[in-house]
Parts: sequence; structure tokens; C-alpha cells
Amino acid sequence: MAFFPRRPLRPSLFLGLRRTVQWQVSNVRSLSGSAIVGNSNHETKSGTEHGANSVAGKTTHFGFQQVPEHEKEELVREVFSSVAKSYDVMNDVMSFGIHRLWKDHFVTKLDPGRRPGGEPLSILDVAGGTGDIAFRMLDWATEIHNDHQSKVLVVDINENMLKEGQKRSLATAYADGSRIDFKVQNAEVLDAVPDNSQDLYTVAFGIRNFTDIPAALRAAHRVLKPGGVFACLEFSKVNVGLLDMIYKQYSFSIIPLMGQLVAADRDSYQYLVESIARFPSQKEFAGMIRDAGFEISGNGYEDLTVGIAAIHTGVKV
Amino acid sequence: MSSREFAVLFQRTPAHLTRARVCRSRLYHSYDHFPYQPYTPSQEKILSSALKHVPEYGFAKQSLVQGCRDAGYLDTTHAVFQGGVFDLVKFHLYKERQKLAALKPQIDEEEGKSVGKRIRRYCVERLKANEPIISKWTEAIAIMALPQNIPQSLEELAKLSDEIWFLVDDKASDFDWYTKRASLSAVYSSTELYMTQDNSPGFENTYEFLDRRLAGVQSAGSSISSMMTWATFTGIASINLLQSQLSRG
Repeated sequence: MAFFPRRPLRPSLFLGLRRTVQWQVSNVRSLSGSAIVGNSNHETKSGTEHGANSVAGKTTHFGFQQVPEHEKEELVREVFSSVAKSYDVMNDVMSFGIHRLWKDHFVTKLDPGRRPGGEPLSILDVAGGTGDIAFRMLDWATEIHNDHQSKVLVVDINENMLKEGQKRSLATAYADGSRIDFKVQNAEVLDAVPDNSQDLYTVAFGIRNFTDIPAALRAAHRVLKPGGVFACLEFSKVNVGLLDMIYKQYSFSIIPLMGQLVAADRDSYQYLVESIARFPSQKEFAGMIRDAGFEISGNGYEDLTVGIAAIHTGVKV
Repeated sequence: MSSREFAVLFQRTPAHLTRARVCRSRLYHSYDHFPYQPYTPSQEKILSSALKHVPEYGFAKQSLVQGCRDAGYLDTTHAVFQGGVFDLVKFHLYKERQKLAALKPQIDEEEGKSVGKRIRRYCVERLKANEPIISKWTEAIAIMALPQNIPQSLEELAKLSDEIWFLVDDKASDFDWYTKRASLSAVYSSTELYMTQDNSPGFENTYEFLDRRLAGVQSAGSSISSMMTWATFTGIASINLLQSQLSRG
């Protein structure tokens, strides 16, 4: 944090002067190889997040800023409310459309669906507002396993994203709502989901926005049945030094600019880039999953496209 | 500081160093450390139940799902295995490699001192472990040969040949260390491939094939070593000759 000038906290996302400073910092760090941008922040973050109770006045990260914990939820809500409509455009811009391949691979890997002699599945898709993953999983279950019974509950903290998903579901085969349900839920609490009730918990490109990731992982552990699988698709750390440098240049200089041009919303995109840089590395995150009580197999993750994204899985035993 | 204090100081390793040493993958055989366990008890239970279904379903997702059911977990549990079916293949390789060590007393007694005979016996024992699933082993080979799986498959093969050389008490630390392991790997993998196409009773053709490959390696090995002796002698003699000529001026 020593690199960044201190400034009063405000909910507005526009940070004119600060961005210039930060841009230089990211440049310097990129040159040092695979150093994580904002690494020093991350240490303070895990320090606060592993604490037992949240105390008033404690701060967490929001992109590269430190904000009081209770404000982060609101700030993330603002970002996603403003991008809900252009969500697909945003993802396409950020990943050159590769996010579709990642999501398809994610579903292929999980291979959800009722099998001969088995039970229909209850799937919980967290932070899945627009239903991207949910529709893919239902399609997979139906087409590959001829399963017309497995259900998905889509939860999101943001009602605007859920509305977008509900609207989209009307155009699918699941319009009658018998196999898909949408609920506003905080992933750290999941109070509408009973204990030991889910076969599969998925979260795709959502978990980095949570205020308290360990709490969300504990909630996931609570709602899964024994043998149930936690699966997370999330941006991660590029594992080849040179490519990491290029990727950082791209994400910090091009993505906010494209956000401005494509969606007229530079600040939300700036946040998304910063939140990706701030998210823990594959290994650290696998450790957090284990700390929440899950059992992982091997190293617990699979890198996609040299680590730009990664799939983490854990099983509740 | 007395020498005794000095020794005590050296014996105490800081906690973080001890931990790093335990976590690091084992590069050599050690009698002091517990063998590395890559599988948790529940994963071991799932994967070994899954292997029982391989003769029926092959190396396929279905075997893994059946294994999860038999072990008392859900159908979805299979998703936790990052490599999918390749994890099942690796588990088979790992398990059968681990079993070889238990045969050491028996093989030492039955095969005597001869290194060649003991190597052959370990190869035979390892190949026998493939017999129940040999009809599906081509599927496993295909999975191992996928580009993303090749490094780990080769690593597993290297570990097998290292294990066998270790079990025959080979303590060589010269360049032979590499050639021995490389040639045994080549012999074992080609024999394994031959075995998938072998219809002879009791796989006798496979074991004859193994004998021919081992004999080939031995004669190649001895030619190479005589070549090396000749080259070393000639090299040293030439240098000596040059030196004596130069010193005469």
C-alpha cells in the first residue's frame, strides 16, 4: 500500500489521479516477472479475512483500494448492477470469447446428470445470476444423460443479475421453472439452503468478488451432501513469466479502455481487472479450500489457458 | 562454544526447514522418511473400487462413477479427480509399483544373486499385475499418450524402473545410472505393449519377448562399456604421448 497515495474513501469508483499512479506501479512490477500486482495488499487481506469475527472498522480490498468490510458488498453490487445488461459483452471483451470455452470445459469436467441407477441431482450455482453455467449444466444433463429431473438453484447477491438470468431462462427449454430456480442469497450465509442438501456447488467467475471468501467456502461445505463436490471456475495467475507480463499489460491498459468504448463504463472494468490481480494464486486458493474442510485430489486445480483461469475442486467427505 | 554444543545446534533444524523438506518431492530413496502418500484414504477407497469395474467398463468415467458408489459416495464425487480417468490409470500404476517392494525377500531367495535374473523377475511380476485388465490396457495406453498426460506417464515409467533397480540393490552412482534406467524403461514399456496383443496361453510369448529384449540390452550394454574402456584408454594414451613429445621440445 505504500505505493498508493492515501485518499478519503468514497463509494464512487472514479479514481482519476490514482489510476495513473497505479498504472506505473503495475508496469514496474510486471517487469519483475511473475510478481503478483498488489501482493502486499493480499497479505493484509488474508490477515483480516481469517479473523473469527468481523469487527467494525476492519477493512478489506476492493480492487486495489482498502474499504470498510461492510461497504464492499455495496460496491460490488454497484459494479454488477451496472454491467448486468452487458455482461456477455464484458466477458467476451475481457477474454476474447475464450470464457465460453472455459465454461463449456467446466461443465464437461463436472459431467452433471442423473446416471442409470442413480438419483437426480440438486445443483447449487452460486453467483450465477445470468444463468450462464446453470443453463449449460441443464443442457448437459438433458442431452448427455437424458436426465429431465436434475434441478439447479441459481443464487446471487445481486437482484439485477438474477433478473437478467430469469429473463434469459424464458428463452430456454427451462422456461416453466420446474428445473431452475432463482434466489437472492448471500454466498457467505446461504440461509435459504438446508445443510447437506446439494450434490454439486458451482461458482464461476464470482468468488473473487466475495467479501469473506473463507466464510463462503464454509457455507459451501455446510450445504453439500457428504461426497458432494465444490467446483470453482475463476481467473487465476498466469504461470509463464513472460506471458504473465503481457497479460498484465493487456489487462491493465486495454480492458478498462475497451470497457469505456464498449460499455461506456471504465470504472467497473477497472475494478474487474484489479479484482483478478488481487485474487490468490492457484496454490493458495487450493489451500483455502482445504482449510474449509474439503478434501482435494492431487494439487486440487486445473489451469486453463496457461493459468489465466483455473478450475478448483474439492469434495466433502 | 564446545564441540558438543555445536553439534546440538546443528541437529536442531528450524521448523520451517523441516516442513519444507517433508513437502518436497523425494528425489532419492530414503529409509528415514515415511513413503509419500499421494492419495487420501477416501480417494484410495474410491479408486480401488473403481479398478474392480475396469474389466467390465474399461478405463472410462463409468468405472470411476461405480467406484464412487461402491465407496459410499455420490455419483458426482468423480468430479473431484482433476485428471478424470487418467487419475484411475495413475492409481493403478502407483499401486502396482508399490506392491513390488513386498516381493523383495521372496525374489532375493528364489533368484539368487544374479542382477539379470532378479530384474527379469520384477518385470514379470509387474506385467502379471496387468493380466486382469489387459483387455482394457490399450485404453489406458491411449489415455497416457495424450499430450497433456505424457509428462506424468513418463514420470511414472521412470519411477517404476528406478524402483526395480533399487530393489535389486543397484548402488551405482556413475553415468550408468541413467543408461540403466533408460534401457529398462524401454524394455518394460515395449513388453507391456506387446502383451496387449498377446493371445498365447499364460502370456508365454510376452515373457519370451521380455527375455529377448533383456538379452539385447545386456549385449548392447557390454559393447558400450567395452567401447567406453577402449575410448578412455586411447584418449589417455594420446594425451600422454602428446605430453611426452611436447616436453622433449
